[in-house]
Amino acid sequence: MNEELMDESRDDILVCSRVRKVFASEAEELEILGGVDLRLGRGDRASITGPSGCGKSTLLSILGGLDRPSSGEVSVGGVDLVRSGDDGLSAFRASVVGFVFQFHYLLKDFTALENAMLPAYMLSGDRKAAVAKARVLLEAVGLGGRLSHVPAKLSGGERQRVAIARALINDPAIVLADEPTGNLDRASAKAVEDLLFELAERRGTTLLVVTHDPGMAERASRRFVLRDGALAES
Amino acid sequence: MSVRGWIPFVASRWFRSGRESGPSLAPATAGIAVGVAALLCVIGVMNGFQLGFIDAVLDLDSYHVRVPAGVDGPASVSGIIDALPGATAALPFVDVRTMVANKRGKAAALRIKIVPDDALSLDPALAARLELRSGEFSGGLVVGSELSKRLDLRVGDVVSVLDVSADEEEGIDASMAGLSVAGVFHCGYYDFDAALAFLPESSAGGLGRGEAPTIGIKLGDRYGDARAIAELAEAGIAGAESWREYNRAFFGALRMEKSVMMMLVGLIFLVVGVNIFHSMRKAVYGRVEDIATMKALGADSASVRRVFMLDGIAAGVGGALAGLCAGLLVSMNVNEVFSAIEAFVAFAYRIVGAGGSAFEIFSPKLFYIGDVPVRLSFAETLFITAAGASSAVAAAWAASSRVSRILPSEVLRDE
Repeated sequence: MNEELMDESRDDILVCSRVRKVFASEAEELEILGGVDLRLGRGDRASITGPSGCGKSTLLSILGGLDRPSSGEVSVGGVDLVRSGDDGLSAFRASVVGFVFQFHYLLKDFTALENAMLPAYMLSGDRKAAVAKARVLLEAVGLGGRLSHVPAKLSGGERQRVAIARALINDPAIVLADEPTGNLDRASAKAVEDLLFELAERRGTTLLVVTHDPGMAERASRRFVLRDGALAES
Repeated sequence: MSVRGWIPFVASRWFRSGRESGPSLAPATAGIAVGVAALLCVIGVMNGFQLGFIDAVLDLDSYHVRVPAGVDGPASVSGIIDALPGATAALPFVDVRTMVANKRGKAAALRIKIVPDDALSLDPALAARLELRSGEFSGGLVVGSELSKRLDLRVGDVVSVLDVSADEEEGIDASMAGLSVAGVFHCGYYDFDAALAFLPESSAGGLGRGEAPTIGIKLGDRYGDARAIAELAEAGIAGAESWREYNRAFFGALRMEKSVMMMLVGLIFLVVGVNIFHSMRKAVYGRVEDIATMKALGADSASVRRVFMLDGIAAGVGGALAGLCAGLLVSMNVNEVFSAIEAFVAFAYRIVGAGGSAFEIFSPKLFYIGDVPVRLSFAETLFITAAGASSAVAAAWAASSRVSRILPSEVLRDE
């Protein structure tokens, strides 16, 4: 392990070093990430842009403990994601990281309130506390009047706002957002973008957004471009 | 991570909403219920017939333990009753296989059981089993109802009985003896009603003369036969036989029938289990996104698998309990159910204008039964219910194995 990169004494929340990801098939090996280095501090709001298929979502999956790198080191919130077992990664996803995907991926049979509270219920086992916390967060994202609505009864922007509340409910150290406004119309996209950045700033949460939207990328305090498997800060 | 509360929360929500938003387990639950109910009815009716036959055979003819004629030891009725605390009756008898003919010469094979005049008081179970339709159990031959019908016999008629004896000096000697019919019994077991007769020994004349009687013993618990035989041996009465031995072929056939039926029970639940497996697998496929989402939110594979297990348990236990209630209800009222079906079919015949004789599921013309007997044992009821429930649980366990292979990074991406 690269000792310098793994040193989190400088209040770094995310450190990854020489991360490679290779997809191997019978015919060939395809290198998506060719040695990515990235370090984010607490409270940073960062964006990653790059052409389609360049590996942005793959990098985000690795940083969120959803996928494992072919080689390299990744530490997020003090958790070594390379050496953690499956249960360790599950615990990491429950407590350290929050996800917002391009599609909302809300559980279709659950109301907005139940969707938002589920991660807290999973983590603490305290349903009442989880419901109370979810209620506060949904009111903060402007959905106080939509608590009992299932996703099918919500608009695209509302669903994404529920997803943001769900991502924030366990007070994660970092929120990873993969094209969070990619499926929304311009007005809804702006509202969701504002909400995501404002909540992250207000709560001091580190935010890493993968986006094709130059406006959203510009809004980040740190901006990265992923091209040909390499990440560069602009 | 706590796994106490959210797993049943998610499972109950998925179970409830299955009908609207994904593959439902309701058909599987109904399948288990129908399977359990049907099997309880089938096994109950089969038990009813089998145990009815066994009881008839043991009460009328075979007894639980027999002390054969000519064995060593003090094989007297009083000696046996003294030696066996579990015995409820002991009856000496001589079996004579013969032919009987009515006054018009119509003949039939018959086994005559020569018993003491007070046989019915010596053996209360025999008295309870024999339904005397006419006459009395004294003063002559007591024949079965089917034989009476076949030979057109009534109380007071005289029949000719072939009396065959043999000894070393004179060889086989056959003669005809006349016996009057003193009574007609009905026991519901066709073979006995058609080919068994009782003869009080004071009316036997020379029939069965010189033959030492076998002593038939009835026990309070017929499964205590081995212990009874051991106790007889301790009392110096050797050579006693169990009902399992001298009815080996008949009871073996019944046991085989039951074993095959239980195998069919297993196969039916295997089929039900496979159906549930497919339903559950569809449910897992239908919820791939939900599973991946929950994993992304921090749920481990084992916990998500437990959600589906709870679904399977709910389907299995719910279906099995519903089937248990329905099965017991139908089994306990099977004759009323048959009557209702017969009434419905008769009504349907009238509606379509079809004539003909009244519809009967078990017509007495074809089946030698009055009512359909039902007997359910606690152990078999428990086994069938548990098998129904566990088939769903096992199927859910197998179907949910795919949960661990669902990778959020592959499912939750939109590129």
